[in-house]
Amino acid sequence: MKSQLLNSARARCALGLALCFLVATVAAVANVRGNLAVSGASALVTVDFPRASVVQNGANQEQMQSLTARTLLLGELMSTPPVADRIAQHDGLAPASLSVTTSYIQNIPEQMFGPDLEVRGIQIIKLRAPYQIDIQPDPNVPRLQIYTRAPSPVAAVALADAAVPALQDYLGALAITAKRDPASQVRVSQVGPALGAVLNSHAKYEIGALTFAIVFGLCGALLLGAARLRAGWRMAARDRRRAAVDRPAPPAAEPRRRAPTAGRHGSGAWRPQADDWPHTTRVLPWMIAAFMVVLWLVPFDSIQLGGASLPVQLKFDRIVLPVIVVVWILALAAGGRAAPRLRFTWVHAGVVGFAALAGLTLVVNAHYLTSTLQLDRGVKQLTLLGAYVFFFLVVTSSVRRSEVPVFLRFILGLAVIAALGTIIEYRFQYNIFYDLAHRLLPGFQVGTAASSSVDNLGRRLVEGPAEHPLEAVGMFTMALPIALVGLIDARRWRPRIGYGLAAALLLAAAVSTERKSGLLGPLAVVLTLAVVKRREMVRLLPLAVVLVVFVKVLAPGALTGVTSQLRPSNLAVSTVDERVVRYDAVRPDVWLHLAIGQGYGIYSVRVLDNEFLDRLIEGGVIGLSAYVLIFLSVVFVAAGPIRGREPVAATAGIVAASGAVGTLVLSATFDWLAFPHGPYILFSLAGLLAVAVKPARRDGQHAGPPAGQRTRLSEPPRKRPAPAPRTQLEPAPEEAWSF
Amino acid sequence: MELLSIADVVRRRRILLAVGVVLAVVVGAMAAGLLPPGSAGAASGGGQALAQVVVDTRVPLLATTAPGGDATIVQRSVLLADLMQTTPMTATIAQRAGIPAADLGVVGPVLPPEVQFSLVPDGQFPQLAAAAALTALHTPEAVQLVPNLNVPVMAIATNAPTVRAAVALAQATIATLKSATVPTSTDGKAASKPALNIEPLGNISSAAVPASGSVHLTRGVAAALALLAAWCSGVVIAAGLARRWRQVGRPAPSAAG
Repeated sequence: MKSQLLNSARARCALGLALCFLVATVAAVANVRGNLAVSGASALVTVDFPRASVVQNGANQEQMQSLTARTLLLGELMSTPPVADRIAQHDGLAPASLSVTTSYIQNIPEQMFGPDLEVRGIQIIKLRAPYQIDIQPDPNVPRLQIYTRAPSPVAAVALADAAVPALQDYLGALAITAKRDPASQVRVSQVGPALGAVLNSHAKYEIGALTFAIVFGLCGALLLGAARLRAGWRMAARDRRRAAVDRPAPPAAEPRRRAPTAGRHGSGAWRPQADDWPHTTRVLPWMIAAFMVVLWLVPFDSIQLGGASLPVQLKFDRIVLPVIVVVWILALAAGGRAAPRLRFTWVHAGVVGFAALAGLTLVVNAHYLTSTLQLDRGVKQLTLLGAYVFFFLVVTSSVRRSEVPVFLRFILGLAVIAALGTIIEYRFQYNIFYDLAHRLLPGFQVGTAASSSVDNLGRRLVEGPAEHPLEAVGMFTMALPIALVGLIDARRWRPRIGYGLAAALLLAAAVSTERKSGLLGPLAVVLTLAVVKRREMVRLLPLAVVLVVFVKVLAPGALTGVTSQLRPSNLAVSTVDERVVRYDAVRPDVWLHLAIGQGYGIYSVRVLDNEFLDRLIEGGVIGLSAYVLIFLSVVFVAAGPIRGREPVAATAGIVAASGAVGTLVLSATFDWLAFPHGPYILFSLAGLLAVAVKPARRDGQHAGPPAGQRTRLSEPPRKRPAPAPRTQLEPAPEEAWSF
Repeated sequence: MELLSIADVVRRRRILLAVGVVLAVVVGAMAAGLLPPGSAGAASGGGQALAQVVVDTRVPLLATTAPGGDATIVQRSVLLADLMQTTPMTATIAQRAGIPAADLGVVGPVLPPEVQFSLVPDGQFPQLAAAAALTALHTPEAVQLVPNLNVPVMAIATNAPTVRAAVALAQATIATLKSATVPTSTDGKAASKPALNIEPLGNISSAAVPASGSVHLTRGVAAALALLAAWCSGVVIAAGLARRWRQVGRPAPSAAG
């Protein structure tokens, strides 16, 4: 009976679902146990002259400044142990359970207000106290605001109401000790009663839902993995048995679990189909193409619908992508010939694994993050990461293998347009992308490009379609390998010139951002290409001189400016020093949860300009490893087709691997995941790689190019492809498929 | 092509589609305030009033180039707004407006937390606490005083059950502001001349707040369309899952087939 039940696929499936549901429910219930509520209260305190009132009796400027300075002093005093202990005593709390912080910042540089090692260590200790007070003196008016945090609104209000009497007590005692009349001291009085409420009323539901979703997904993935492993073992055992019985068995008789016409990297599956994009009525490839236009040409992260009046920030991509994802899900559910086909590769494992781990860090740290009111921030960042992953999944399941070269050329075309716009911005201080967004998107709030502004090192803020110059560098770095591979593989002069020009434009755009990374990113790409295509790159060496000349002509002064920044004598600048300071200052945060980190997307103490450090703090050693594994998975998956020399798969592999390496290098120079253009583009390239190396079953039904069909990236289109007979399985000649 | 497949799935389930349409119409009517009958206009929205006053020195700022106290007039106007939140002043405003003191809440300018503090570990805490303080006020009548931090001008916004009550509340607040600027002598008696002049800038503007039960056709249509779209999506997904479920356990089609 038992074995019968387990032999039924439906029963196994139902059992697996029930098990996942049970485990996820138990985890969710366990994770929301205890008091998760955090309440806050606020009270206003004014400081006045002993007898006369500033409002009613007036004060000159000097008196007002003196009173304001005294208020700052009182604010600082309230966070010292003598007054803090009195506040605890007034509120009936143990002194150890209360932490008091005074915070005010005026115009001081980031290195100074970002907490250093020791300060940050103390902050972390203070954050653990169940009762907290944050005192913020007004730097211009003699008053201070008291914010309190406690497990309940009543406790938070009581704590806020206890602060002023405690301070008055302390000042009175001080006057008596100094043998002064307490009536001659400044008057500290609370303005009205403190008001408070629960700050995270929805935290329980948020944690419950998040825990359920993440644990259910992980459980499902584990069960599926185990099922596949078991099926693999069974199949291997069956093969061994069959081999033993039928020896000598005909070699390669059964290409298991793979499309019958596909080789290891899908050789023979490149036949373009009649309805390949762009000659198709399938809506999803068109939607992907439209989203790619948004990614490359629209500063979508600076475009928002409705401004501040809406509860969520409706950035442009968050309006476009959900439409694509909904259509994708519905098309997947509806089935049919044009339905998306799911694939699974190691790139999927890298990308989805990183996202799952990011969610897990929030689940594991949920209680800590709720108590520090950081969970919402983490969930928002996780949603953004989910958007990247969904786009990746849409690309990998909706694009056909035969469409990969067209999409690569399309991306290159968009990148060239973006590069041209960036060079124009560098030369004429005019950002065409922001200007067009202003004109074409009425009703949206569009940010302003600071094309003529300079940073504190005197470098221009050339952003192109991005939100930051470094983000633009990341974009051009990822597109550069497409141009370089096209240049290498081009057999004729016209495409060779075209790809060369594209490479020059991309390089010029990268350096016109006037960032050192503008040279580092492309250099990483070129070195990666030099490793995988040594001979071809050596042949291109004379062309490098031409490229440099082109870059100098297109963006005069940019290359010299960037190279001069890289001279050792010019490296002692604030952007470098600040980074060095941060390496030391983040140690307490790194050690806080070394293994699993503090939670994805929650770190906001400092701007680190280093994605590795962000990952280490937010995801711990495991999170950092998962982040690096995304890139390694791309390189690992790309390595096969690159070695195999199967042309289109090899090109997709080289492009994705070079882009991944370039991004990995740039991750050390800025917080890459915080700027959405880069992740979307990299995940789309990784998606195309996944499509290239792993055919969906339907893709594998075609092979070999029809006569006259365009087969190289570098060749101009000749003729729309004719539908191929499904039974035609002859592999294409290697030469005909090269780029 | 995918859209045709999706439409086909919905088309083949006409009964479910009809149920969705009926549901969407009902929900749309409810969102528009047409259902249940008579709900439109059942609740009254109340009234709002807005006034602006200039907090001036004893000798008007515009009358002379060197009026006494002009250097600190902005700070004093901010402190004056703070003063209105104290219990005695709230009681005075309520008394002048003819309402019980317990029914009135006065909120001043909650000190905006420093923007830079989003970078310190307290994170959103000060902002959230400030917002929570405002939501914790549950009185039928409320006054909010918002002083301009650059010039001595203060906005007074009031909420009350009726427009007339809101205007009366604004007038009572202005009167209380004027009385609060009269300096007290050492013996506790009020002096004759106020230290600051409170001059209203124009008339008090007022408006009726739309009742929550009024008819909103656009909202109703949007709700109906959203529900219908969600319903149809649910139908397609459920059909897809059912198809997958039926396929589970079936032998996989052979490579040739």
